[in-house]
Formats: sequence, C-alpha cells, structure tokens
Amino acid sequence: MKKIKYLLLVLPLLFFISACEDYITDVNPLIDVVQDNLLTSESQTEFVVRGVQQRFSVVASQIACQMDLLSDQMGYTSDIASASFPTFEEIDKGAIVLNNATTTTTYRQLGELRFFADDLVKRAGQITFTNTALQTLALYNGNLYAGIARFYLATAFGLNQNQPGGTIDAGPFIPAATMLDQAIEKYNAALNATTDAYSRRVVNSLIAKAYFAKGQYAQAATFAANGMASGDANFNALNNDVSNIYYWGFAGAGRVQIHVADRFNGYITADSKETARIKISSVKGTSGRTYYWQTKYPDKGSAFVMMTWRENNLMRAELILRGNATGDALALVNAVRAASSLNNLTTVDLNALMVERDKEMFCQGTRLIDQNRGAIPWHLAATTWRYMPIPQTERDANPNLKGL
Amino acid sequence: MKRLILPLLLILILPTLIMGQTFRVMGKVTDARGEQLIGANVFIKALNAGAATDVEGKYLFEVPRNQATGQTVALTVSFVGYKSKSVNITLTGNSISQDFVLEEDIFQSETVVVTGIASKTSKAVAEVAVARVAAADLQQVNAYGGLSQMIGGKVAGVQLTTASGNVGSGWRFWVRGGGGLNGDGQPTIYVDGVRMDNSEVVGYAAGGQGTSLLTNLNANDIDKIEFLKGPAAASMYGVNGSNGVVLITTKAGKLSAGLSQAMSIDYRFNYGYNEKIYTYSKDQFLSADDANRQFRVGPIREHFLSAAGGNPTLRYYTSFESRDETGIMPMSSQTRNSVRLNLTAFPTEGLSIKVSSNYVNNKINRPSNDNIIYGFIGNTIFRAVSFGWVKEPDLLTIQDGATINQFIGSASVTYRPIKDLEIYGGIGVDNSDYYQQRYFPPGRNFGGLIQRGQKSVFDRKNKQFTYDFNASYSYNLFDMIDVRSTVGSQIFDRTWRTTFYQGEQFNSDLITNMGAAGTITGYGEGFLNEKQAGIYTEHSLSYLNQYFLTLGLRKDYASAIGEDAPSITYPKASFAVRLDKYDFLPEFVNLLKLRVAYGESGFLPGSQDAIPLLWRAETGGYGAGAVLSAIGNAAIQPERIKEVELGFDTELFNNVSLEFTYYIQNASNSIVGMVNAPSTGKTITNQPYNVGKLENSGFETLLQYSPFNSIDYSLNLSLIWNYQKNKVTDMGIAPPQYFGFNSVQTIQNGLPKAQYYVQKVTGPRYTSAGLYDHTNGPLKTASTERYDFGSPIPDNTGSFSVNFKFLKNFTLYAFAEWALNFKIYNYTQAFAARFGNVPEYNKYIWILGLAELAPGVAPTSLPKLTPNTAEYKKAAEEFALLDWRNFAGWIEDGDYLILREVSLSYDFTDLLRELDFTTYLKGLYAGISVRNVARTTKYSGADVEFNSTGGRGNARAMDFGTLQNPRTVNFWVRLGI
Repeated sequence: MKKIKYLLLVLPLLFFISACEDYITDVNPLIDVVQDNLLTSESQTEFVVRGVQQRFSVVASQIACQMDLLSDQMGYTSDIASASFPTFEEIDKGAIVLNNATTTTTYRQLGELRFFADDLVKRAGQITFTNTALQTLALYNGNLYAGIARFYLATAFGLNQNQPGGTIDAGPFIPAATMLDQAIEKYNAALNATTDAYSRRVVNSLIAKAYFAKGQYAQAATFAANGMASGDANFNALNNDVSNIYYWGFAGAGRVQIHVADRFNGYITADSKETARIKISSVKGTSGRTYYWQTKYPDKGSAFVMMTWRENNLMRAELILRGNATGDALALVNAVRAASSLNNLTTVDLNALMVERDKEMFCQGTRLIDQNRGAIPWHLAATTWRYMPIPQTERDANPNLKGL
Repeated sequence: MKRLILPLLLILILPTLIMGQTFRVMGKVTDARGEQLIGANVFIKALNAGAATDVEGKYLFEVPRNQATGQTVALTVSFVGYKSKSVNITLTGNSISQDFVLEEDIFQSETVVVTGIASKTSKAVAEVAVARVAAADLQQVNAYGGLSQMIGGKVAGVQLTTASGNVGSGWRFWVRGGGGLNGDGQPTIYVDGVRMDNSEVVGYAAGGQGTSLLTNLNANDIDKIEFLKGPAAASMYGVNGSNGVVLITTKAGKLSAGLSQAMSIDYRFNYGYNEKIYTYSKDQFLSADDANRQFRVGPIREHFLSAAGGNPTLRYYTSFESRDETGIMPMSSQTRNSVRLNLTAFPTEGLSIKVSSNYVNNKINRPSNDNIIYGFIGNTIFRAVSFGWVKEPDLLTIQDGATINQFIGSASVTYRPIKDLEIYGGIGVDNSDYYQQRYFPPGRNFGGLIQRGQKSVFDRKNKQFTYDFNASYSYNLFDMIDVRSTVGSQIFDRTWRTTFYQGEQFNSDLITNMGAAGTITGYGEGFLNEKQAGIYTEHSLSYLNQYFLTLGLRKDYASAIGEDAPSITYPKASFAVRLDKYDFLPEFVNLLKLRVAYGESGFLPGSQDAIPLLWRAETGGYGAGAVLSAIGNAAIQPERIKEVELGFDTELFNNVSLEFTYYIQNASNSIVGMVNAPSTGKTITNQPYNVGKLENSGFETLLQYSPFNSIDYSLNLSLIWNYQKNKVTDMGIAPPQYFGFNSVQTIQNGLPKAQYYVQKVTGPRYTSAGLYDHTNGPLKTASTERYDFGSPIPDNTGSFSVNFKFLKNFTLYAFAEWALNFKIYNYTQAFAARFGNVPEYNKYIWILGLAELAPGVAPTSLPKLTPNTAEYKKAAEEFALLDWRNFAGWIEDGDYLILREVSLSYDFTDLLRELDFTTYLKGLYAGISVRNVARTTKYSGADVEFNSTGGRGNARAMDFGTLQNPRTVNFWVRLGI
C-alpha cells in the first residue's frame, strides 16, 4: 500500500514536469506585432520605408509648430478659451522647464525618426536585393530622413538657452554645427542613392537649407542652384484623418491653443492678395481681444509643407543679396510672389527678403531658424531659450549629459 | 436549462421516494444563552443524512430503518460563528432525540480558513497569518454596493483605494509593503477557484479612470473573502502569489430545514442614494458654485433574491440581483443584473462535486473627468470662467457607456478513493466582453477636434481558464507525526482580444452606427494568448497537535514569445507551536500560538519581454508602415521576492483576541522598466531590466474584544493597526524613474516606491524692474538636486469597528478607517491657480503688480506693493512657494480619519414568532446603512483616496480633476421565507 501511495504522488508530478514547458509555449501567434529580424528582408522593405515616412509625418509638423511658437511667428495665451496647455506658454515665452511635457514628447519622437531612418539604412545594407528599385527606395528614404532628423536636432533643440544641438543614441552632446554636418552627409548619401531628378532637387534644397542654418552661405550656393525649381511639387509630410497634422489639432481648426502674430493680419490688411499664402481666421479671447489663427492647414489630414521651390528661390535670392551667388534676386522673389498672384516688388534687400520669407514660409517652422541665424532679431529676453531644451528624460538617461 | 431542472428535481426528491420505512432524528440547537440557532446544519456524515434547524432552532430528519444496524455514528452540528460539536449515537431503528448547546467561536479561531493553495486549517493551528472577511455576516448588518466596499479596511495589512467616485471605478490594492517592483502590485484574485480578470479597463479614455471588471461581482453572493498576504503564505501560488492572493467564496447551498426540505428564500430590497461628501469652497476656487452645481443625488435601487436548500446528496444556492445605481455626476450610472447557480453534490461516499456559475450583464455610464477638456470638473474648476472649453449643454450630450457581459463558472471534483487520499480537480473560466461606445453627437460644439460628431467603439474580449489539480495523502510517520503530502499543478490560459475604431462627420444624429460616419479616424486590433503552468509539492507535519511544520516547493513556467519559456522555483517553509498546550501558561490564556513562515515568489517577465524589438503597423498619409511597438531585453530573468513572517495569535479571558504579524520582504532581480534615452529612439515602452532590489517590512495587528455577550446585549470591538515601509535599495544600471504629473514621483535608490522627489524653490526671481519674474518662475535647485517630500502611500493605516447588539434585536455597527503620513499632489488647485481660479494666488498676482496674469479676477481693491521694498520682497518670497512651478508647494498632507460605515438594523424575527407568523415569514430585518459618513483630513482637496491616473500604473495620489467618492445612504429590508 505504501508503494502505491508514493507512486500516486510522484506520477502526476513527473507528468507535469515534462508537459509544462511544451504546454506553455504552445500559444497562438501575435497578430499585431512582428519581431525585428523578420523585417530585414526585401519583401518587407516598403513596409519599413513607410514606417520611417509615417514617423516623419508625425514629427515634422509637430516640431515646426513648436518652433514657430518659440519664434515670433506664433504665440500662446490662456485668454483664448480653448487654450489649456501650460507647456505651450513656456515655449512661447522661452521659459521652458526641462521636463516640459510637450518638448519632451517631441524630442522622443524625433529620436524615433532618427533611429527608424538609420535603422532602415542599416537593414538595406544587410539585404541582398534582387529589385534595385526597392534598394533605392530604402537607401534614398533612409538617408533623406536620417538627414532631416539631424537637421531638426540641430535647429530645434539645445543643451542650454544659447547652445543648439542634440544627442544621438545616448551619445555625447553634438553641437548644431556638427549635427548639421551629419545631416548634410546623410543628404549627400540620399543624393547618391537616387537618379530621380525631382528627388535630387529636393535634397539639394534641403542641403542648402542646412547650410543656411549653419550660416555657411557660400557652401549653400551650389546646392540652392541645383535645388527645387519653379513648378516642382512641394516636399510635404503627408497626413490623413487617422494621423493628423499638428497645426490642425493645436494651432488650427481642431483646437486653437496657439495663435499667430498679429502682423499676419497686418500683411493682409496691407495687401488683401496676401490671403493667397497667409491663410488665417480669428477668434475673440475672453478679454474681448481678437486673435488670429492659421488656416493654412485646414484639415486634420492636410499635408505639412517642409520644402518648396519658392523657399529655394528665396534662398537663392538671399545668397545673391549676401554676395554668395550671382543672379537676379528681385526676379527670384517676384517669381515666388507671382505664384500667389501677388504684385511684383520693385526692389528687394535683405530686410524685404526676410518679410517675404515670413509670409511665404508661414507655418513651416523656418522663422526660428531665421531668428537664430541672426537674420531676424530675437524677440525675447537674452536669457530665454532660443531652442527647445534637450529634455530631462535625455539628461537622466544619457550618461554623457551628466553634469552638463 | 430545462434539461437541467428535471434531473435536479429528481435528485432532490429521490431520497424521499425510496425511503419507505424510516425513523426520525430530531432535537434543538441553542447557544450557551439558550437562544435558538436558526440554520445550523445537523447531520450524520456516515449516512449522508441531515437537515438544518428551523426558525425555532429545531431540526428533524428521517433515516431509512434498514440503515440502522445498531452501529454507533457521529451526529454533528455545525454553524457559522460557533464551534462544531459531535455526539455519538447508536442507531437501533428507533427515533432519536438529541439537543445541542453550541459554544460561540467569538474570534473564529476554530473556523476553517485557507492557508495555502491546497491547505485549509483553522487559525488555531495555522502557520501563517490568516485573514478572513466574513462577508455573509457583514451583509446581515450592512449594504454593500460591491466587492471593494466589503474589503477596504477590514483586513490587517491590506489597503484598498478607489481611483475615483465614478460608479464602477477601478481600484487598487496595496498589500503589506506593496510587493516587488514588477507588475501592477495587485494580488491575484480567485472566485470559487476561478482566477479573475482583475484588469482596470479604460478603452476610449474618460480622463484617467477605467472600470474595474470586479465591479461585476454581486456582493450579496459572497460568503467569505480570504487573504494570503505575501509569499510566506502564497508561495505555492508561485508567480501569482507575489502580491498576495485573494480567495473569494460565494455562498453554497445548505441543508433544508424539516422534513419538507423547503427551500430557504431570502429577498432583500435596498433603496438608497449617493451624494457628494465634499463641497468646493469659494475660498479655494472662484468658480466653486459652478462646480458644486454639477453634483446631484444619485438614487440606488437593488432587488436581491436568493434561494438555497438541499439534502445531504445535493445542495443548491441560486440568486438574482438587479441593481440600478446613479452616481453623483451626470452621466454616471450602473445597471447590473446578475444571476448565480451554485450546486454541491455528494453522489457517493468520498465524492463531492461543486459547480459555481455566475452570469452578469452590467451597463456602466461614466462621466468624463480628470485630464480631459470634456470633463465636468475640469470645465468648472480649472478656470475662473466655467465651461470655457465645452459648454454645459454640450457636455451633457456626451455618452460614454460600456456594456459588460461576463460569465464566471467553475466545476470541481473532490474524490477520496481510499481513506487517506484526496484527489482534487477543478476547472474555471472567466469569460467577459467589455463593449464601450462613446458618442459625441453632431450639431454640438465640442471644439474643433470633434467635427460633426464622433463615435468610438472599443470591444475587449477576455477569456481565461484556470485548471487545478492536486492530490493529498495523509499518513503517519513514526506513529507520532501526522503528515499530509500534496502534489499539484495549476495552469492558466488567457486569450485577450481588443478591437477599436473611431469615426467622425456624422451628418445626422438620427443614425449613430459607424456606417454613418463620414470618415474613419482611428482603428486597430490587439491580441494576446498567454499561458502559465506551475507544479508544486507541499508537506505538512503535525506533532501532538501542538507543533506544526510545512515545507513546499513550486516551479513555474510562463509562455514567452520568441525565447525559451522562463521558469523559476520558489520554496516555502513554515512552523507554528501552540504554547497554550504547555502547563506553564496561566488559565486565562485560551490560545497562544507562535508562528514563523518563509516563502518566495515573484513575477515572471511578460510574454514579450525577452524580445529585443517588436514592430507594429501604424497608418497615416503614407499608408501602413513599421513603427516600434515594444522594447525588450533578451537577458531578462524572473523576479524573486523572499518573505519572512513572524507572529503570534492569542486569545485571553475568552473575550480578547490579539493577532500580531511582523514581516520583512526582500525583492531581488525585480524587473525595472528602464526609460531609455530618447535619443536612442527606443522609447516606445520602457525596457525591462533585472536590476531592482527592494525591501519591505512592517507589522499588522488585529485586536478584538468582546466585553459582554448576553441575549439582549453584546458588544464586539475590533481594532486593526498596520505599519509598512518600503525602500528601493538597488536600481543597478537603471537611472531614476520619474512619473506622475510634472514627474513629481520617483523610483530610485534609497527611497520608497513612488516617493515625491522634486526640486526645492530657493526664492523668487526678479525682473530688472524688481518685479516678481513670473515668466521664468521662482529660483529652484538644479534639476539633479531633488528632495524627498514624502510618500503617496500611508505608513500607518488602521480601522476600528464596533458591533453593538442591544435590546436583543437592534444592532448598531460602525466602522472607521484612518491613514497617516502620506501626501497628495493637489494638481487640481495648482492648475486652477495658474488659470486665475484660486483667490489666494490672484491676491499675490495683484499685489505683486502682475495683474495682467489674472485679467478680470484679480482683487483690485487691495493695494499694490512697490517693487524693491521689504514688503514686496516678503510677499514675493511667499508667492515663490505658492507659484505653480513649485511642485512641492502643492504636495499636501493626506492624513485622514473616515467614519466609513454606520448602520442600524433591527431583527423582527422575535416579533414574527410572537405573532405566530413564522409559517409565512421566517425572518424580517430592516436597517439603514451609511457609507462615508464623515471625514476629517489635513488635505484641502476633494478626496483623499482617488487617483487621477487610475488604479494601476506607478503614479499615485494624483488629484487632477478627479471625481470624489460619494457618501452612500441605504435603507434596506430583508425577508426570509
């Protein structure tokens, strides 16, 4: 009897020991996620490219809108009833705490864009392509967006109030000039990856823009000359009803928290034709004051404009006015104006050009760069943030930033 | 259903049909005071015969004469709250009359309680701290809306906080020192052997609040709730036991009284209401009147009908509940219908079968609140001008309703093929469907984010199976040590699926299905299948019924995607000695038992934690593309929590009981979700790392005193006092983690979990004109120089209850809870201050010459101060501390004392007897119960227990536009038929 009882106790135990491991690993496969290594394949390339572009579309308008808010182009006031984000007020005033939730999120998503893009290039290097078009798609887009991510790291963020730049992969702080060099390097790799003429013109414009941000106008000249030309479609970040443009949700028809400077209404008052490119509406504040808000991006699915042939024209005009290129600056500016059915200017100088840039690149995130490259005076106190701070989350988790 | 009824009826009447010639066993059961005991079970186990006592305390059952062969058998009587008693009777075929006088088990030391996965014993011999809520007893004197109300404050070492005052709101346990660092710190909850889905479901968010699926449980069905509080007791639950285990048992059938074996029917009607307990003051908020106006008195109506009965072969319990409850805010309500059938069958000797089944349909509407612009509280409290974001009439049209259908069922078999061998097998299922629809009708103004209406649908289907098997063999070693050896296994299989979609641009409010949406603005699907399996062996030794020792071992496996299944082994050992069995103790010591227990447990990593990177699809303007979904760690290991528990249980003078337990827990290899640097791009989730070490310790005490106990007057007093502390001792390579609004809470070395840890303000900052620099805020210490501002979790908690029976039939019950030494972040008021809604803040704004910051609300009658004067600087110093950017300035003491429950009830049964009405009505009881009667607290905000971020997650005690818990008044009547 004793033997039986021990057998009774031990048998089930033995059975379960052998069965447990098999049982618990027999689970239904996940349907909503995929492991990393499975994406390193030619058949998945387009899927990965679209992911990089999707992150670009999330990041681009978000950064641009916040850069506009920090610049003198947009503002925030709780006088507008639908405004409720204290973090926007900090950005507007350049008094941004390191754990500002808005800028923290933006830096995080920009980090994703940088990683996704670099990761795409890396994957492309590991795949043996049979379809060269897919290889080109991967290398062009990977390098293009890797360059754009670095461009924004250099122009939108900073370690201190007056020290622009960012970090990559928890590495040491990279000053803006070095970061822009990296951006240009990536853009050049994108140029090398494609033979498509339009794509090459877009990249050339972006390289010129990066040199502008560096204040290296001489180096910008060649690229601007080879950049986007009249008739070229805008280089946009695409959105839709599911993934929305930031301006719509925070500075537009979705919810007006961020308004535009009064001068944009002034531009229209001075010349009603400006409504072709300065699209605004108005709202009364609680105090009765009138505020203006952008309708350039009227829908949640509106595409964000990142680069245009018109901006390229204005860069070329500026280079001419600065003596870094030759040509007819006025003609270039007037071509831009004509695109919006505006009357020609009779003269143009750097000041007039900056006004054109202000109007033409309304809500495109370029104003802050213009202010920070010294083309427009800084509108806040000298001690304020001229960039969005590298957030506390990065400072906490990146050992290279300890004590900085 | 019809198919079931016929066999059941047959089983019920079969014994009567086949009896033929019988003899009677009868008598009366009273307590020591001579009071008749109604419903006591009297039975002869050997013959499977018995009955319950009737309203006179009398029992009567018949036994077939052919079963009487002159043998001697035990006639046993058992009754809840009394010590069981057996007498030997000889069966000769003649009727037998046997009366019983039962001794009250005042402190329930003889009551059998769960002490482990396959062990049950009484408190008198348990080697671990036992904890039991006698739910059925509480229902006699009070009315409970749900499980959470029944548990809070009633168990030593267990805190329970509700996330908000929404009806059906989520809630959170804090057991002892809060467990390890992994997971959500919540105990595993079983109902009749079914592992429950204890999720807080959020769906399309209504602020931070989700709905607890446990809100579906009908409190009236619960018989008892037992706790295994830490690894020392729960280690045989393995990875499910690290935060403790809660075992809920619903009511079972009982023997019918008398020969007719009529069923016992219980009907309860409950009418009551919810009302606000806290009123916003105009000293705090300019818009207080608007906020207060949103509250309403919400009626409660509940019908509960149960029937129980049975014979020694089959017992049944069935119930139906219909509950309508309205919350204190518009759009807050619950309609719950619940039906239950529990069966216990004893078809042959040595075999018992239990079936438990419960179906619930629950419709919950919840109001938007918390961190959302569609909330009633936010729209009236955050700004001086109410309804600035969404107008009141528009807010009232928002519909957010969830329909939950849930089936919980279990079946178990206990079989004794031979005398000392017991085999148990059980299967349980918890199958729920949570279907939420949120609707913003077209034609209303919800701001531009929602254009021409919006509808969101979220559907969550969760199905989880629990399988239990164990075999226990009892034997004797060396003829003096009784041993019970158990081997068993436990398997858990869960499948979870969500679907969600959102549409906008409805051109008509007459058609509200998703097909009428002009555009789809969001959609997705989630799926998870996970399994766990554990095997265990446990050996309990008892020597002279005085020394008790248990040793055990459990090995756990869990499913992992993409990696080998992780497994871990946890041991346990416990020992107890009954000192009162020695002669040296004085007579008045009725019980003195020392106990010590050691056990290990811990969380396993999540099923996807070991995969370095997971990608998902995200759609947008470019179509669907791959974006990161989760960051894992291939080297992840299971956590291990070790717990030592020391304590004693004593009973003195037959009227004092004291239980004391000290525990210390050490968690190692805890999995910390490390926040990667944003520049890595790998931040979509925290990355799991085995780096955490944590120490918890504390004590829990339960003191009970029963000074007098007569037929007409009895008094029972109970005091619970808990102390807990915890500290993170090692974060390894993980940097400090910050969370909560403005990242005011942290997990890092040297501090308790979720401690407030923020910068200090060192003084005001001035502009060049000498004005307070409100743009840049006050001067603060460096972001790396933070200070400890206390814990959101109280270190001292406790409760006190009084149960006073007077004039024989009146019962007054009162229950109070307190918590000390904890802090709440009053972000509601800080936020409102910033937007000009706090008078004190506006005063400083004005006198410091910053009037433009508070247009229209500054107290302009006050004199402005002159910059650079001593007076100005003094005011600036004060305002620097009040400045909303001084986060520490808004962290307030939360200490509280709440008179949680008061009830007065009357038992009309004596009156029924006098009127000779008991033929028609066996019992009649009525009472009034009030919950959250009164509160005194140091905290200035609306509630001391809620949390804006819900009942899960790291952040706690966040007050940000959260709805207060209500005061609830219930009038109830209970009829026994």
